[in-house]
Amino acid sequence: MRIERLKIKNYRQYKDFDISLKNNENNDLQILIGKNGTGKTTLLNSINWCLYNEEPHSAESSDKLPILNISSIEESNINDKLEVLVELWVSTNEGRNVTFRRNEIFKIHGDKKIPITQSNELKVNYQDENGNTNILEDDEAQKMAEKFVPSEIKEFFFFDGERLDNYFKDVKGQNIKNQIFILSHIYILENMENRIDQIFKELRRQSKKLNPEIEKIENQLESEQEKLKNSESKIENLKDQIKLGNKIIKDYENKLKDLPDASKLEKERQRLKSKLEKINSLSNDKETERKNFILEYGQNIMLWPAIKKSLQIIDEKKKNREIPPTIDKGLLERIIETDNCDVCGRHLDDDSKKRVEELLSTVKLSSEVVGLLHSMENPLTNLETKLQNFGAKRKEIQKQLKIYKDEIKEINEDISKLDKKLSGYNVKKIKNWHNQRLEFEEINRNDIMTLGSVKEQKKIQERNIKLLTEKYNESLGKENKAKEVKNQISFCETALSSIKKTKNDIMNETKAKIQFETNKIFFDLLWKKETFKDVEIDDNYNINLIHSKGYNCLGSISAAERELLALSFTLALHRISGFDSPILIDTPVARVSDDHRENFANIFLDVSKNKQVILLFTPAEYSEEISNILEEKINSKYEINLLPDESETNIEVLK
Amino acid sequence: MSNIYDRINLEKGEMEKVYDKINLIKDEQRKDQFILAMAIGFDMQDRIPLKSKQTLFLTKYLKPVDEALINAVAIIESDDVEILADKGAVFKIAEEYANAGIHSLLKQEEDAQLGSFNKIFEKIIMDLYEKLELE
Repeated sequence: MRIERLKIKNYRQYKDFDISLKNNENNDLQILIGKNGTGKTTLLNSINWCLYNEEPHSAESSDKLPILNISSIEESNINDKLEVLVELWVSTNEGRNVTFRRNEIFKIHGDKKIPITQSNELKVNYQDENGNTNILEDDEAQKMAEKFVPSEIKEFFFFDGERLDNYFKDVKGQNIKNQIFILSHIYILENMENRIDQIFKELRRQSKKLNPEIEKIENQLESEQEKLKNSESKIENLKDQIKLGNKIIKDYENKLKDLPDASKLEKERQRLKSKLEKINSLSNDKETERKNFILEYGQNIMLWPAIKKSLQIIDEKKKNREIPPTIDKGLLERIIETDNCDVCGRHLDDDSKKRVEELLSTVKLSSEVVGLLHSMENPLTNLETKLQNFGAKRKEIQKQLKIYKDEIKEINEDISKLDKKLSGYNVKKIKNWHNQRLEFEEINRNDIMTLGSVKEQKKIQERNIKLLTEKYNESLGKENKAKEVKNQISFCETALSSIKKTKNDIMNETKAKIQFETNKIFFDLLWKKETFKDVEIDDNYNINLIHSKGYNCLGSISAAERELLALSFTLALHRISGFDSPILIDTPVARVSDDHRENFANIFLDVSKNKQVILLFTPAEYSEEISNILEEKINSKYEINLLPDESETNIEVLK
Repeated sequence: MSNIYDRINLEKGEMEKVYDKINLIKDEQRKDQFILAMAIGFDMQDRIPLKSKQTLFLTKYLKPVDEALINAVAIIESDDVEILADKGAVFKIAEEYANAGIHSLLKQEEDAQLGSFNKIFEKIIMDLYEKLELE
């Protein structure tokens, strides 16, 4: 299908607009060039308005303006009736003509000339296989528009080029999945499934009346099926939530990619601070130990001459057997003084007295002094031993102090590095992002656990349903009257199962085809073929571009590459949908850098070999790089200009 | 009446004025402060008799090693072990050395740069240790 002609009357700034779009065997490439504000997007809207009575690309400001051309309103008289008209002339691949014609009649009211809608209708003129022209109105006409491009997927046919750049932000996987549902006509199967399910339930209700036993089983079955339905719905919801959670986590990861993990760093900082405190305390304890050591050993060192001398004296006394004392000096003195022996009680004769006096002269020290000297020996010997270890002990303390000092230095350096990392960043914001990520990770963990448990529940419910169904069929079999109902139920079961399987098969096949086509188109059109390896589309129609090194790189590719991928996906959808309608892109290379405009010109040229391509360029976009490639191949070229008073757009045929 | 040898004395009024002013020993027990002061006085070979006395601590707190050190100082000072039999003489020598030592310690600490006296003291001890003739 292609658009042959577009005729517009009184639609916004298009007072009287009529263009024909020619083609040849090789290409179908149509170019319209207009400055910003001249009405390119209005042109895109006019097609949407004609087909679907919608203006999806309106700016908010134009929403408030009447659809009726302003200069026409000004020229009108009160109670005049004015018509807004857009005609889209289309030809099918079989060469039949279809004209979509929407008009809206306005009546001009009051001195302020306010246009009030009187009617709005779509009419379609089409040629049947016999060449006869038929006119369709109302719903029939709308159905025909849906056959040209279904309204649900119109955004894949008539769109704003800037949207291509934001494609993967705006178009959510679930939306695409819904579109695929429409494109693949799966909704037909779904309608069938719903209808058969209703019949199935009705049959079950009938069977209930036959036997109380059957009714009981039926109730149990219904309850289990309800539970199963809930579980399936829960599973889908959880999958979506997990998917969404992963996306949010990924977004935070991207945000935090080059930023410090503030929370982690803060924790690390706290850990270091606490370690520092502990080591400082240990170091202080060691310093105290060092001071006490110096005081204790210091006094002994200073007193060493006295200690040494005392030990020498003690040693000598020991050698002279004065220590320990063997004879009590006081006892001898007392015996001499009293001439009486304190030990045996005998009176001392002269000879005995002489011998005691000789003994006394050999005992030089009093027993008290000897006792004191003796008591000094051990403590002083110990001090001597300790002093011999002074050097080693001091080194040990110093060594430990050095270890603490080094550790303290190292920790302080680490803290300083952390502080440096965090300086210049909005720590609060980063921490918030980290916390959010952690929160979503926790939510996802819980969702994954819940999913596992719901899946288990589902298995149990399926098993219960199987058992109850067997029991139900058995009970039903016993009832003669129920034979026919049983057969019908059995048929419904088989049909439902087949439809479900077919639905899944089609969805999977469609997805595989779209993935294949997207890959094919993308790599055919891509200018640097070695960088990427694959385009993957997951079950929820999220698109991933795989780098040749194996990682998903969609988030880091250039705007031009992203636009090409979106275009490839769109063209793949065109191919799979079977809707061979034109592609109309407003500002197609607005977001593409100069380096890649040439590539895109080649791409559009390439696509125009198989499909009508209508491109609405700004003059700046239609640069030399683009025109060098396209100019000779263009089938029609128009320039759109706004009159100086901005009330009307006129068109100039350039080719 | 208390035994006259049951206590160790210092110069009257110097507990707070001298002993308590010295940071190096402020956390030490009185008897340890005393032994250190005695050691310093002994090292300087400077004895200053007490003009009027005040109790620093009771001798019952002295450990055998402390008593041994006090005795050792008295022995070397008097060059006669018999001095040990005269507790009064032994403690007098110790008190006079301590009296000289504690004043010297206070002066050294006051003369030192704030916070550096521990190291200075350690250095003094190290120098002494290096000259020490241990067997």
